[in-house]
Amino acid sequence: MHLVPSTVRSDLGEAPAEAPGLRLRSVESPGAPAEERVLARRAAGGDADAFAELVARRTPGVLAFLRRLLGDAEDARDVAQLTFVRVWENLDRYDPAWAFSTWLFRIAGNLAIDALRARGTRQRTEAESFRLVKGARTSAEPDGPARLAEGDVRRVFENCAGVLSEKQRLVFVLREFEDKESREIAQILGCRESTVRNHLFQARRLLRDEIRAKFPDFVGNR
Amino acid sequence: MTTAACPEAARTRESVRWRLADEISAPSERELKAHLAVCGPCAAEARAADPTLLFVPLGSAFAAAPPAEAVSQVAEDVLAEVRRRTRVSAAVRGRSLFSRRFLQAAALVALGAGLFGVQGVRFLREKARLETPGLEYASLGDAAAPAAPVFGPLSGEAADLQRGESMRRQARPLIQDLKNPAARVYEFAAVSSKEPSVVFIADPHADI
Repeated sequence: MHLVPSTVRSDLGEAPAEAPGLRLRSVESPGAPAEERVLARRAAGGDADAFAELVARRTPGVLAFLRRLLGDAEDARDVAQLTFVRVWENLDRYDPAWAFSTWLFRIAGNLAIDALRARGTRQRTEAESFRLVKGARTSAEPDGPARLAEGDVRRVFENCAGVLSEKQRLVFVLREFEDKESREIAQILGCRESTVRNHLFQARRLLRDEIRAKFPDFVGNR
Repeated sequence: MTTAACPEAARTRESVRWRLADEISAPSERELKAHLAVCGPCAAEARAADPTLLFVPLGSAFAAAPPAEAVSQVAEDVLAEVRRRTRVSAAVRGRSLFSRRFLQAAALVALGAGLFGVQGVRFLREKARLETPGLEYASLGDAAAPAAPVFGPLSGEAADLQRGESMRRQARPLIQDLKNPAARVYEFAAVSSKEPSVVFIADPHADI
């Protein structure tokens, strides 16, 4: 169980005058993996309601993950749909030894990598993000770095993520945004934990340099 | 609120240092991000040290959930697609089942027709041969066949030998002369009643 503040913060700088204490919400209920294994087994046996339940439970998370990974809402919707259809097609191959979400993210991640490769993400993302970030900067408040909104941060990420390989990008998103641990990321990618750590290390290094070079105002000049 | 005023400032700096060294534990990292999400001064200082902490607001724990409309649209499209595929696969299964049954029935009909045809041809040929003038078919089992051996109360090896000899005699080809001087019937007598007899008719005048 992962406990986080219940309030969705749209910026970094909006600190409460007095720490009100964090209201905590659970991102995933403790019993979810076991329940989802059962649902997956029932769905594999042809239970349409069980599959619908899995889709209802997991669509928000998968859609958000793909939106962050692909940087495009339309692509995210397409890949999310394809992910669940692929899940339905392969339910009989699901190994309950794995959490259903791990298997789901593996399928979604692989499809997203295919999508990133197919569209030549680097050039396109860079061109789009440059335009958007430029707009965001003009509307930023005087104390910009302290008042970054989620949309602005997303555009900065889209602009800078072009320096990452597809695998580095996937690892970074899974770790930084989806809060997955190295062990689970290794399962999702089908590789060793050391490989995951290496991808993450390289991704962070490349992004730090890129952000400092492109958006010095957003991170402060040191 | 300044960084100095934040009671967590020192601890936050320490966590950022661990993160830069890539040695921060997952729980500590979650704690760090949770604090940066609500403490502007600490967040600004942390971003200066590690610019990737700029992306904290994008974390699933902090970012806004996808629009409910988009979520429901994806779910509906997925379920519609699955229902469509289920209908298609059921229809294909139905067609293939019919096809298999149809083929089975067709195979049975073909087999039946083939057997009837063979028997019919055989019957017609036999009938035609019997009606052919000058060709008199003698019953091969009467005069030509040897009398059935009578086995005495032999025992063991002797009985087996006698039975074998009798069977060999039965298997010998019998030649039946017909009234037509050029026609001959050759029959290889069956060893047992379950086996078919093989008969050759050699008649240069036969009209087949």
